[in-house]
Amino acid sequence: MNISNIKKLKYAEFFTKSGEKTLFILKVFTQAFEFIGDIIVSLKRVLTGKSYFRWKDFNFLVQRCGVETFLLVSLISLLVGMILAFVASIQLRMFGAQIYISDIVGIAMVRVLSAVMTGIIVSGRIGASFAAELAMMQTNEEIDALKTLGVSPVEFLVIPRVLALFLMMPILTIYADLMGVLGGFLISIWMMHLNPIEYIYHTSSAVKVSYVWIGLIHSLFFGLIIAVAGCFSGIRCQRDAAGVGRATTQAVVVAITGIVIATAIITFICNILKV
Amino acid sequence: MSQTAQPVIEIKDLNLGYGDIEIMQGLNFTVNKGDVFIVMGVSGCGKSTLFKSMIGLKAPAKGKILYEGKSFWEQDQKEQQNMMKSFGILYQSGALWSSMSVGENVALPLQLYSKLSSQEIQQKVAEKLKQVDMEGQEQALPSQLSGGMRKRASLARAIVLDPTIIFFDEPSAGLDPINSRKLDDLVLELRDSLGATIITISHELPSILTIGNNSVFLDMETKTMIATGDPKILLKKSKDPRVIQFLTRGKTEK
Repeated sequence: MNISNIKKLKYAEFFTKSGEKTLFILKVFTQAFEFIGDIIVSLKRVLTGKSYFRWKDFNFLVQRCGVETFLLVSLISLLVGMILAFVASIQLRMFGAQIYISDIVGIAMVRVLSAVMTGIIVSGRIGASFAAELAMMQTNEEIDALKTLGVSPVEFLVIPRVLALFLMMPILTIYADLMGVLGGFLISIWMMHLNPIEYIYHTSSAVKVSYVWIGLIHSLFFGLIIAVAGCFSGIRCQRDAAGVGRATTQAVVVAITGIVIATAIITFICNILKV
Repeated sequence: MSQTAQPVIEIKDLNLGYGDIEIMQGLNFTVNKGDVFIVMGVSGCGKSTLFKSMIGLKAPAKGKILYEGKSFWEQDQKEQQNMMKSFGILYQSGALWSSMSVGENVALPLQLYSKLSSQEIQQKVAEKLKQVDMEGQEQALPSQLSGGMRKRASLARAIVLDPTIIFFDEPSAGLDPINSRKLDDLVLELRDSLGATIITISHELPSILTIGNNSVFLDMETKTMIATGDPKILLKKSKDPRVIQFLTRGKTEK
């Protein structure tokens, strides 16, 4: 075989592999959209009482979403608030405007950072565990057992998880707002020696109610993204030990990427709407 | 047994595959009422794929699976679900739902498909657990059970709706000989008490020869069935070396 033939073969191989990869990605996207469609249909059935809904599982999931992330959300939000206060103080100190640390910390945390940080924590903690659980259920034929009983796995397993995160994400985000603002407050009082009353007054006047709503809208979208990514990765897992690992990793990667993209879109829309 | 020879399941010109990959072709066999029908063959020959097609998890590439004359894969989803209510399935791993207790696992089919009160459901659950020798284990979680207990609990779930056809996917896999024997006895007891037809995938020779009265042998090389009939008769009379090798664990060659 001459060199030009070898080159032609390499090109052919490259195009074949690229084509296969593209088709695979298209297939995954199609499956993901089908899955989302299935969730919408199932949600309607659950909300209209046409399908079996285990409140016990739902209550347990809601508790788990809160309990398992509570400490991490507290710590990370407090530290992010502190870091923001430190970084802001570097510039503001030069103009003697340290009091505006409260504005920066308050607005940044409430509008976007609390929701993003909570989203990242929840995707690592809860999204990954959703994926691992469902992947193990797939491996252990538990999902097959549901299907052959005539129970939709989406109605039985996915909807409670989506609803639990949809409910808990805003609550966790509000809590993260408070912790973030507290972090900024502690640094400003102890290290910048600002007046606590003045700090609280500045925060309350800088943070508008609309910012809280923007943060909550972020959190609702993040809740959906994390739950859907976790459940989708888990349910379509291949039936081996490596499959469970891949599903978990995929759930976290997709959720975090989704969170960043959703943040960019919401921020862009808010900018257009001037809120 | 098949004295009346009333066909319950008929497999007609069935081809199985995944995408373009063909696993099995030209399967034709009949399972009669009361049979303990064994699906045999070496690992990877397509037994599990056939099993999935029969229990409604995977559509065949071609051909028909008829349950009492009704072609399963030609029905709409609702009718398929109705037909599946007459199936009891014991999966290889047991497949008990891990977030539920044993009692909840067994009760779920009743909650979905019966009009029994919660008290009646509890009674029925206790009765079925007793039948599989798992009395008083309602509150136990699947993770707290041994392999054999998990299979028995799963069997209680499979039979709670009094199915007419019970599928077993390698019921003895991972069990010691004593528990394996107990499960075989239970299979026969269920066949007699429920009047059910049993279809089981099995590798366990003692089990195949003890409980089976009809069978099909799938061959990986030719991708089709190469023998059908009572495994005990196949052992004595089959002239196919692949069947004999399997049924004698490769010790004898005809």
